[in-house]
Amino acid sequence: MQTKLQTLLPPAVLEDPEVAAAELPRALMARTNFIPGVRHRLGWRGMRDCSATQNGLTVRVTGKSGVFGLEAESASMSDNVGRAAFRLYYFPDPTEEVIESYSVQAGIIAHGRDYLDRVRDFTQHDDLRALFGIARLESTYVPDTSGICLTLTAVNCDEIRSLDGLVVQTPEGPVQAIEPGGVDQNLPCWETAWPLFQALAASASYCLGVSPDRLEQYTGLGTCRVYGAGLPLRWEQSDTAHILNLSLGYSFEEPLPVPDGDGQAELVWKAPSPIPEAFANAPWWDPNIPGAKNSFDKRTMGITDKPRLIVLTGFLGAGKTSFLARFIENQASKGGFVAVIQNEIGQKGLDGKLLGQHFAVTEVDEGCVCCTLAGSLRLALADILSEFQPDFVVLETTGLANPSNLLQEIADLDDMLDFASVTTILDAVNAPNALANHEVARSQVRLADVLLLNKIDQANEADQNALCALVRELNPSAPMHHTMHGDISPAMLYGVNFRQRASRPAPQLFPMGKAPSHQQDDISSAVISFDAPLDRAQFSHQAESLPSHILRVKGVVDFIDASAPEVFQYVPGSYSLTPADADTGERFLVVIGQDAKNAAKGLFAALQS
Amino acid sequence: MSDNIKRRDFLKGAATGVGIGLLGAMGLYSYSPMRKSHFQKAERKMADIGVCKSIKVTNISETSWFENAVLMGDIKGAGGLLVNQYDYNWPPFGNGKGLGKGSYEDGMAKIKHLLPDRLDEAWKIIEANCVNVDNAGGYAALIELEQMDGAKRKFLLDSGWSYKWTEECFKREGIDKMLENKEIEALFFSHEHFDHYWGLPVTLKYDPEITIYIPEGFYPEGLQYIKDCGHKGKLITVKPGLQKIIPGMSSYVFAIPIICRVYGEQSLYFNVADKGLVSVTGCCHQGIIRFAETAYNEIKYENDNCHGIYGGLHISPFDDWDPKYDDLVISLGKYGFERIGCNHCTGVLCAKKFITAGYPVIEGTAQYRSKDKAYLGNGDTITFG
Repeated sequence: MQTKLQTLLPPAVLEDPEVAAAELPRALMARTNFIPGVRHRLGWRGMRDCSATQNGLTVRVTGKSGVFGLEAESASMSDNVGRAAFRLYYFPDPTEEVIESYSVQAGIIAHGRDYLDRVRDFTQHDDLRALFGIARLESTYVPDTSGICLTLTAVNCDEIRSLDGLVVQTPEGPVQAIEPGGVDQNLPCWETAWPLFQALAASASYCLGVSPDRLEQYTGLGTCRVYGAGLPLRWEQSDTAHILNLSLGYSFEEPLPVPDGDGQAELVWKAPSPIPEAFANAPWWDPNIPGAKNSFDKRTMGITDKPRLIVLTGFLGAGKTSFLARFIENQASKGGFVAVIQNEIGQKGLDGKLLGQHFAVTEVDEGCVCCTLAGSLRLALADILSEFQPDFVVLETTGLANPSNLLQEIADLDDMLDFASVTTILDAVNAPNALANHEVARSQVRLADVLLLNKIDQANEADQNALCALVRELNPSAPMHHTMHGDISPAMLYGVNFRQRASRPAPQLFPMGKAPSHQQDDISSAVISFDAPLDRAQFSHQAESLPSHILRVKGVVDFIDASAPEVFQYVPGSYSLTPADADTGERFLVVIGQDAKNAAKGLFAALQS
Repeated sequence: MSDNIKRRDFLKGAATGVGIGLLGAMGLYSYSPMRKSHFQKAERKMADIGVCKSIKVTNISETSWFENAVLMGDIKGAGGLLVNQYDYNWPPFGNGKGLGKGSYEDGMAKIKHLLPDRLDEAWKIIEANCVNVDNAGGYAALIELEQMDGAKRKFLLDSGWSYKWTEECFKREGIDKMLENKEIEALFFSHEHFDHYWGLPVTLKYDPEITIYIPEGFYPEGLQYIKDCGHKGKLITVKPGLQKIIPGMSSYVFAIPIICRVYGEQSLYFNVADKGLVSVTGCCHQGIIRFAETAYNEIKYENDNCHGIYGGLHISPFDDWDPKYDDLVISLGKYGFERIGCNHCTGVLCAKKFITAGYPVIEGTAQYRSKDKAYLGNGDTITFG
């Protein structure tokens, strides 16, 4: 416990119980927020210190679209026990249902244009402090036993009546928002504060490596408040309001904090008694978060490497899922973290019940997070990258997706991702049929950077050869691998550290007596090669003015101003040139798209002039 | 509430930008005692830290490690971002048992008798016992302050990580001679992280009597390291808040948790005559906004102007809850810095964004293993005033 506490706070802080109690909640949040996988599991969605004052922070919690504020109120020490109290606030999102329960004035403020900016530094704004408070949080620290205790106190419902009523000026003229004597605020404070307390307590269990061994719950009579008629806000008796108070102790041997007044003990629990029914599902009972250590918030180290993007295509049943499972397993074993995005571009995957989120997490484990999109890929990606900091993003498209529609969209993401590969998986048994009948299947093959012929064990040799010939006709250049159960090492597929580069296309092999079929508007490919180094400025100009029906260009070229060859990658609207790792001696460009031959000819002529 | 629907409708009016407001300003807030209860009015303290004529910063090294992938693999392999940095088995504290199985005591026992003078021999032992020794670099900067009367004062900020790399960089910039001649009057540590702190013996080899300032919050291993490296000078632990050093120079300690079980960061503020505030940071884990806001609230500086900044500019100490807002590029703009030299943990992408945004970034020469001209790189200098 002592060692674990030291992971949170250094000896200099733990030596002063008052400071330790005051710093504990922030340390719990900060330490757990460093690790995306842990952060996500515990229910944090980001935190931020108020910048102007030292005594406040804002934090978001899963399932709440608003922002919580925590403000240090007091810290003290007596009998070598440190105690700190914090005021807890909740600033709802203006579209949240609960906004109705806040005072009218709070509602108006929440709709102000600068609301979120003010919330970030809420400790500076007394109107926010006066109108959005929901609860009190206490943290207690006993150095002798290294015991800590977290306490939440809030009313079940905070009712405030306005004696004079309230008139609001609206575009349609004045509106009587509250009748004289009517209810201005009717806020479920305890319920609103609960998610934050759960996340904080779960963080304590995780950081300390133990679950709480004590729990006590009290209720007391609450009050309601009234204002108006020139008198300040004042308390009145209430039949319906109760003050609720819950304390969780970790190695805590002192009496747990008891609320003032005539509180009744509802529940007093101590380990090893069975966990009380009412809290059986609370997240703080399990201090372990298996498999979350592989995620890594790179920004904490100032590392801004972009994740690599793999587009995974293939017809339904080709074996994408088993390939992906192997890929994730392999990355996880090396400490990598993969974000898998399953979505049909343009299709509304979810019905927007995500509290303003652009994606939903379907699974998080040792090496990956799986997400489904709701709407824009770009917005979702921004959030996913920010929250999970993956090393790879795999965009898994369903079997009916045409990757050429994707390429344009992906090109717009090059500020966020490094485009690595279109990997296409074919089912050795069913592929011939799919390729014969579906233009989408043919496009998937044509645009692939890497091809996997999967389920090869289920096809005889003649069929395999015929399929290879068919595939080579569509895509002469991509490396092709034969696999079973999607099982292949990523190093084989992509080279060590994804350094494998395009290789020069093999000569096209046509199956006996069959010339390649030319359908109109079909995608084709062409290869051009260069004997002499090229002029960089001219090359860039050409790359920027390729016609829109060219979907991919890739290859290796020499420039006059560079000593080493460079790898060229082009998708519509974006291209990259990176030094080649190994010089294979080959210089070529593969051009893929509609009418690729003419485009390639034009490009060749322009570059040779 | 019976008037829910009605209430929601007129609140929406506010969102569409059509002004709605309380009539007679007699809402709940007018009656709230909170109006008068603000116990921490953030009034600017405007502490007078004096003034200096100019500041010159020499980047001794900003390259803390050479391969990101190797570093991330090590941290993940050792158990993640909350693991005690002394347990990684990184140089110099290796015991030969492999990643994540090290300890300060084991590692130190192997090299203590060689510190701080026989670093080459120590490094041979370190190479045999630690993981990924060649990935270690380090962060260190020389600060030369010119007083109003023209006299020069020199200080070090941090002392790198790899003994080998740090010593190479010290020799390149002549720091070894300055230390030997007692020209450098103090060494400030920004924080206890491996890449800023573990190269301490290289400074002590050339001047074991140098005064050292550390932020409060060092762990027992870190405090022991100062002794084990053979420090014979004064050690000053700076408590959270402002500490005046000499006219025109002060340090500020932020009590914040940092990854790898580190706590507390010390940054430097200077007040340059006719120019304004100059900030020098190691990593700025407190976040640039808090850093600049703190200066604004705590310190009086010339013309109330933010003049310059040097060092690692952390995007944010944590993941902000609003990705749209968590953009250092936007946030830095509002302070109007006139000279920016950034490197280390700023991120090259971020530095390039500054340049694109038209910020006055002083570009470097990309020498001595610094990767990009957007960074004020190893061996480069920047002058303020």
